[in-house]
Amino acid sequence: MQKIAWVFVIAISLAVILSAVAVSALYARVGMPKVSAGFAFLGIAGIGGLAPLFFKKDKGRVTSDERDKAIEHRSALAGFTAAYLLVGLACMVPFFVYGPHATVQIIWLPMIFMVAGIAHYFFYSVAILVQYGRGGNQNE
Amino acid sequence: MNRTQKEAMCSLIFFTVTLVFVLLILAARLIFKKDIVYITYFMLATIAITNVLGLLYVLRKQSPREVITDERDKLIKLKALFASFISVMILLAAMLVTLRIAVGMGGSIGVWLLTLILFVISIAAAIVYSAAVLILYLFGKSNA
Repeated sequence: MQKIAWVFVIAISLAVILSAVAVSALYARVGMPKVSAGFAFLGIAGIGGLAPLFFKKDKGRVTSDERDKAIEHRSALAGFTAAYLLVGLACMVPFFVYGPHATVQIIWLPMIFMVAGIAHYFFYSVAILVQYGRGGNQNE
Repeated sequence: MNRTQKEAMCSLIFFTVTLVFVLLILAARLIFKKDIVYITYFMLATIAITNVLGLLYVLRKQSPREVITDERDKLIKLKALFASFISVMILLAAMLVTLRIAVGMGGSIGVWLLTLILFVISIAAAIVYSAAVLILYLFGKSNA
């Protein structure tokens, strides 16, 4: 579980950093609608989804216990909470920054959902690593 | 009925009533282009009364044997929370896709609609959570 979490954290961090760099670089050159092409780098985060294929469970060994399940539940909750908070921010910030009469292009709406999904997996993985990190040498 | 069930029952009623009122006000405003002020006052009064009555009902013990919370309650709350979060995400995706199809690729929407989306999914989350708690208690009745 920790190895998979590491792959998720690295893939998502790389995707977000590359997207931010691409969007910043393209913004000055091509302007607002075309700059969204820079978000294509977020697709790198999908590599995290392949991690369970590389780190398969050992057959014949006990691979998880009650503590693992508790950690998984708490991490999933952390992931969902982070995603929900981000959705809340994405919905409220434009209202307070641009005012109630402003409009937002429809093309940005699916981005809210995508960012929420990525945030969920990122915080889920970070929460797993943090909780196992607290356990010291008992984790392996 | 223990405290968790009473809380779930009260919040289910409270949030369902709120959602119905909000949808009524929105329908009146968007379809008939009218602000129905008395419905807004009625909604606020109903919300206040249900809140006070619900609080009294939850805090008052119906039986001396009633425990505040145990391990099973915690597990049920956790499962209900997951159900609530997952349904919120599905509802959010459905709302965003519907908006995109309705408005079209090049269209735009008012930012107030985003706050409304957030409001509706928050209420839906509370309704699903409460309903899930009650359903899980219902299914686990034989083990209670």
